[in-house]
Amino acid sequence: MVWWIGIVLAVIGAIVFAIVYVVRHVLPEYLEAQRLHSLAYSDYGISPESYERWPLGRERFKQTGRLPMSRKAMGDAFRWHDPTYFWSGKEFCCTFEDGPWKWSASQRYAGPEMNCGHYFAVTAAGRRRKPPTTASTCRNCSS
Amino acid sequence: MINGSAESVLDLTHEDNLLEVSRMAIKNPEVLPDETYLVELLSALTDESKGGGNALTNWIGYWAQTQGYDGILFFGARALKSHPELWFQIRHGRGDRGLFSGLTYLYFEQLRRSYDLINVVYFSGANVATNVRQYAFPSDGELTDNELFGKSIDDIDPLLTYRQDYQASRTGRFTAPKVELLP
Repeated sequence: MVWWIGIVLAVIGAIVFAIVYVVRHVLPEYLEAQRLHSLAYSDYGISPESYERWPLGRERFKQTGRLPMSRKAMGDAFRWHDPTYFWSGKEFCCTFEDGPWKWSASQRYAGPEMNCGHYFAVTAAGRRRKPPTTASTCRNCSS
Repeated sequence: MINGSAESVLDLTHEDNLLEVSRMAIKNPEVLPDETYLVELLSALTDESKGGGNALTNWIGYWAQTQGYDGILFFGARALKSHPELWFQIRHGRGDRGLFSGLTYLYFEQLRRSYDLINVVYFSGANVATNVRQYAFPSDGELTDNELFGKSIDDIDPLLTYRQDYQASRTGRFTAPKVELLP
């Protein structure tokens, strides 16, 4: 009888120990990782939380933008940019001037004579180093 | 680095949106086999063989701009290369339907979670200049408040060399027929 009580107490102790360990160590780490993950990307609207998902189903797109299939994009965006063609202050707009070089360029989702394109990555690591192929000049800006 | 927002960015990182847009862009979508439609489409959109873009990406970009989207969120050219399993799917004709259908969606989810592969293109430089709240140059430098944030295009027009009248004269030169794929 005493032998059985010992086993039961040992099992209960192990279970309690496991629960305490999970609550004190594993769970906080998991929650912190989830929080950091969410903080890092939720701003740009592409975090897992920004999709709808049914149990065992795939992610469904959730429109947050004004137009169909669109999302509101907020947050940091990154690119490599030649300092020669960077303006700050009131001349910041000259950094993204849609001049003839932009209209004639052939870029992804921005074909020549169709539309202009200004490219960014949503993470710093996602930037691609690409030498500038077109020079921009800005009449009203001091370079 | 810029920090700002845009109201409506067409999200081409989700397979449902890719399907919808491709139906509008491609004249003969039946050329692409149903089994591999999504992965073939992704392959075409990330194709680098012609440098920057191709007829399909050109059409989508032009269409999106004329519809009023601020830009497009899309997978960069390295997306497929970084996931060789998708290449395997394309080569072996295992894709969107049947036994392997779940795999395609799973791969898209994986790609979407690979944030380094996601890029965004904005169509209007003037809009970018007025929607950026803060910027840092270089990106690890100090954040600077953008003096032009929240201003209207009319406000910044005098500061530009190529103004609204120039942009209007360049817009609409192109008439976009749907893209016809070769069998």
